[in-house]
Amino acid sequence: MTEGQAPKTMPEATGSPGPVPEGSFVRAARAIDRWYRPALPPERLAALRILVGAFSTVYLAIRTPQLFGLATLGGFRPTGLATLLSGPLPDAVVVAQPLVALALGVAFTLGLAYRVTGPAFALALVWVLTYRNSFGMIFHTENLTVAHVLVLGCSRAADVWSLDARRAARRGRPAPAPSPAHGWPVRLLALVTVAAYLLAGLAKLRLSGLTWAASDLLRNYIAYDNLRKLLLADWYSPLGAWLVGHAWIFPPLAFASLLIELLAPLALVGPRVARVWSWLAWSFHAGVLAIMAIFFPYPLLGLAFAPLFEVEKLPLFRRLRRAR
Amino acid sequence: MAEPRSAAAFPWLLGLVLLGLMLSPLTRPPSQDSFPFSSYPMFAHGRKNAETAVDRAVAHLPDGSVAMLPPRALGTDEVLQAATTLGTAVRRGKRASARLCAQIAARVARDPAFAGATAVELLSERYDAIAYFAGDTAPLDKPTRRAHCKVPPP
Repeated sequence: MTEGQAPKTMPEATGSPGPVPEGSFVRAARAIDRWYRPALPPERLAALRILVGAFSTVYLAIRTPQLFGLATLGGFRPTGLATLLSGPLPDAVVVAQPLVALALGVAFTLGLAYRVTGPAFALALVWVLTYRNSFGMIFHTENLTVAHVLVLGCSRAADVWSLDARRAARRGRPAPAPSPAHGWPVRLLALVTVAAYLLAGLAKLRLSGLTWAASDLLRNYIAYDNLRKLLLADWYSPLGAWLVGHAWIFPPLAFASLLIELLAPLALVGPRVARVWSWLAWSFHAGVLAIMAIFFPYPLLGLAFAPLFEVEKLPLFRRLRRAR
Repeated sequence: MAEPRSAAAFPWLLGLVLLGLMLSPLTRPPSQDSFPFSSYPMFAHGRKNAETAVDRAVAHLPDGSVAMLPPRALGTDEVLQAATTLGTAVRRGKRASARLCAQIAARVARDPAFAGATAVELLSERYDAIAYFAGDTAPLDKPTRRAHCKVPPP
């Protein structure tokens, strides 16, 4: 079945008098199913696995010293799955868990024994980062990465461009064709991205209402955040510190930010809208970096928006495409 | 070729469960956060003014000057984690603040950037952040000393 074709209910095959007329609910359900499970090339899902897997593994590797340091940090305040723990883990476990996750991350990215390492890495990443977020500070730069890895880990993302695929080809197995099995994970990744932005926008409305965009609230936050960083001897944004002296800038900035978040679902409408929204969302993060010195690596590297695009056509994957 | 039902069921099941979990914070109080399914409350609360309360650690140097201590002195490279660690200790009271002060002092003793530092102090201060960046860097009121400890010999 290719994209756009609905599975048929075939009365002629059963000898019934004619096609049963479909209700509008059934038609809508089929249309939604066709959208959610399109037949997409396996290379797109594989490209997403490589990109997201490589990012997560490098991220973990960079964070490893800090993850080791959790053993001595103190102030354990469990969140998510870590609420199952009665107290901080023994030091040896704190040191071992990122190393296990790193090894699984490499296997995930390379597509090695993916049926096991895919879900295993997803669970390991959820656990390691949940534990890291259990010391009083939730790092909102990590939520989307984890959700994407969960989707990829539960999918057939290593059918091509992987060590598993290379082994299968040596055994004479034909290359997989585009199928819904490679389409739904891509759609779900896009839905997850959109949901994350939408939630961030809704949180502002729930906590502050439209005042968030119509008042000095954003200016106050930027001043507060930069001063806190300066006094804690960390990087802060001199640009943000200068801008807070110009109050008129902030309501339009806040309104634009809120709009970008709330209109995220439009990115699912089609590639053109997705491109426009992704650029706007990327610019939003670039702005946050410039005026608040907060680095969201996942969206700034484009990975948050990658499921909205034909990433398998990136020059980065030229060698893999040729090797097929 | 007809597709087995299970082929459609799994994607829908996973999708509905995952999106349900992602959207579940909408059923909780908005400021109640979690991981990995967050309500994204950062920078969403009503902040009516730029008043900034900061708990921080400083080192006293041999020349009498005071140096701000960076996050690594608190055992992390994340400024927000450092702020949380300080805030938690201050909230928990004198004993917790003194314990954290001693841990920081031990790190400062090993840090060549603060060679010769004699003491570490944990302070709570309040500023008007907008006024601060406009040049008025004085705290709004007298800093509160939460803990004071000597730096051990390296």
